[in-house]
Amino acid sequence: MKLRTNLTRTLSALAVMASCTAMGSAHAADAATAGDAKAAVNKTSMCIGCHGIEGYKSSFPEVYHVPKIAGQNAEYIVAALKEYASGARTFPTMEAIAKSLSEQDMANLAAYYSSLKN
Amino acid sequence: MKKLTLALLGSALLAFGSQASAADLSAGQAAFKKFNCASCHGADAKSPVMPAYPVLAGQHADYLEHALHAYKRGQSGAPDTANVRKNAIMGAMAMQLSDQDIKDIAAWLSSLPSSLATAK
Repeated sequence: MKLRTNLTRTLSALAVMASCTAMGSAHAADAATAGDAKAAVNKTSMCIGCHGIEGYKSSFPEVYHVPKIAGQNAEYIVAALKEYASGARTFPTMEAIAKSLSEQDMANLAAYYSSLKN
Repeated sequence: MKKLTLALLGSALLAFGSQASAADLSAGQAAFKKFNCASCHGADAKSPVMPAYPVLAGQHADYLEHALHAYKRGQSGAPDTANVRKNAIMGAMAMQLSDQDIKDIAAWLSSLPSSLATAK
């Protein structure tokens, strides 16, 4: 009886795990717009003036290096750009740039920068 | 056997000594553990559980500090002109961190190897 209970528990835990995994991958497939790194080349002029200069710093409200974005996760780059566009992150330069980008532009830039690994 | 024990003890002390001299980094590593950052960002801070989360390892320390302060400002209702980040998870996490925690964690993360680089 004890063995049976344990077995039932194990099986139901496995079932929950399996359904989570299935949901997770379905969600990822829905959310992602496929990015084309080559198509981003005509848009990086907006990025390189800060992110392409070694040691470049931003100054408000703290003075800090602008982040390294080469080699960053593509999905995170898209998420960050969307937060700047929506106002969930406020920073005048990045807001203006993010608002000028289509969802496809964001995916392309993310594909490009994530491919530039150190 | 005795010699081996002594040698082991010696190297353990040496390792401890060098850790203690880099106070910020070891405190940062401890804080990263204490606040369960790894549960989302990965133990190496570059293998997050979701691809929508960032690689933190190897990022500029002062940028990481800035980001954590921006989450704090966002969570505590600072105006949008104050450079804020509004994020339920990171806002709640950052609120628990002291300025010293933020400094230590950022310094430790920045010291870790990763694929991050300044974009060309």
